[in-house]
Amino acid sequence: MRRWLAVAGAVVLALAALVVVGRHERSRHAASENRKIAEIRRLVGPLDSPSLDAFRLLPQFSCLLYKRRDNRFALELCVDAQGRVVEAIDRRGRTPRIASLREDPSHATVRVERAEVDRLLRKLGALS
Amino acid sequence: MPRRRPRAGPFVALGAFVTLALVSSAWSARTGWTERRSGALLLLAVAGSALAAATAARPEAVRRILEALVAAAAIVALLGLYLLWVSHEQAVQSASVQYPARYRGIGQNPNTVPLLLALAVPLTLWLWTEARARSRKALVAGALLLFDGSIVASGSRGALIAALAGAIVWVVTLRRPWRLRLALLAAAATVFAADVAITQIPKPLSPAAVHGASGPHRVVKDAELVVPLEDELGRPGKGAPPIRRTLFGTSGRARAWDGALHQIARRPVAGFGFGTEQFAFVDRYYGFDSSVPENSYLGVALQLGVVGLAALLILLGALAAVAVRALRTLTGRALAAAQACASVVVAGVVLGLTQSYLTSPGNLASSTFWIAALCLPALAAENV
Repeated sequence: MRRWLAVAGAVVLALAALVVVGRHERSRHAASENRKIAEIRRLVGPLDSPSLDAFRLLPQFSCLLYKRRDNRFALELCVDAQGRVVEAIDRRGRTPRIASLREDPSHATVRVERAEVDRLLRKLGALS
Repeated sequence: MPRRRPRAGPFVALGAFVTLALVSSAWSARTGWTERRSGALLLLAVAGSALAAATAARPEAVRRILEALVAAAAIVALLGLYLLWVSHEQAVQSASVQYPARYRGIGQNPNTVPLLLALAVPLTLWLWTEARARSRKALVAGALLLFDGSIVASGSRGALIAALAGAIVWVVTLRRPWRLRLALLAAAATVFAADVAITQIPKPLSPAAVHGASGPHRVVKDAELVVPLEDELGRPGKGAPPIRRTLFGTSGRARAWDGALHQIARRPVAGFGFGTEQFAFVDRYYGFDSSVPENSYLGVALQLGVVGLAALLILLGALAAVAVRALRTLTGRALAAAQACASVVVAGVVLGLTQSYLTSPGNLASSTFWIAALCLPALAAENV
């Protein structure tokens, strides 16, 4: 009986430790992605920049794309319905640098005015 | 008469895996999804365990279960043919520049139903040897032909390989003279080679047939029409020929698996939470067309980290140990049923290398795999 109790106790402890580790990983991952998203957001500057060149409409978010030199899609910010920037892409290099919290948008901390995004989408002809 | 109970090892391992799935809602990226999916997994585990408990040391009862699995697969395959008759467009995925036309039957995509049929192939081989009446043998042979034909028409290479793996295990474990087993292995290899050759007959569309006349150059504002997010990585340069599916190509899976490994490394120990595979994995890979990495082991590592992957491998190992014990100690019809179940397990494990399905309770093949796998500890039951 004692042996079984000890085993049960060890299992509960192990699961509790795993919960702590899992939550720590979740926070750390979210913080890292938010940092990268914020960096790309800074590179974009004002949303209504003259370099705004294209859009993307997907069910889970809408994206604004900004031109740099010859690259029409150099910088991209993807914003969900709540105004959270859930994905940002920097395509200025050979390989796109992607920061994303698509899987966990509730932990995205970089925000923009959704109404402003919609206005710019309309300006680009995305929303009729 | 002594009471018998199924071997405990696999059930302890299964309980540990299901517990991990349930507890992962505490750190999940999508708590609601994790709760629902882990709940469904729990139901599947309970159902499979209950069947095993009810059929402990009762090979005839296990036989009925396996027959039912084959019958279910046959119904799915026949429904596919019916859909082909009623609506060709629904039953067949049109050809593209990358893929030839592929049969999908009632499946969501051409790989869906072949998952189930690949697991049904070794069970059908077993049923054929068990059948005594000629009419029954003919019926089972017809089912085998239906399964093989459906897999070939779908062009699913993973399912073909898995079916072959299951057939090989079944043949190798037969208690027959080695010459006969060698001949059967040669026959299986020949059928496999013929199947592969047939899958190469339909061709993808030529790029010239797809590109219409080019009009005046227009600046397209919708980036999704120019560089879709799901085709961003590995995109060929301008003027390069499009990727076409080849016999030994991975259909973009190699890049997708590399991407999945990088994503796993972001939350390596505990993962993103059970049931979040299609959220944690994002298809950005040119030539790859799926919302999941199409590898059950990477899928589990994404969901439950290395801890979850280890738990799954321990579970499969426990099943393998019970299978080996059963094959060594059982005789007669119990042995024949154990051979069939072991073949399904091997086919399923191989299939997991190219398809994300093993821990998806709603998937057609997942329940077939686990029900057949949990019959093994039932067949190898020990005295209480």
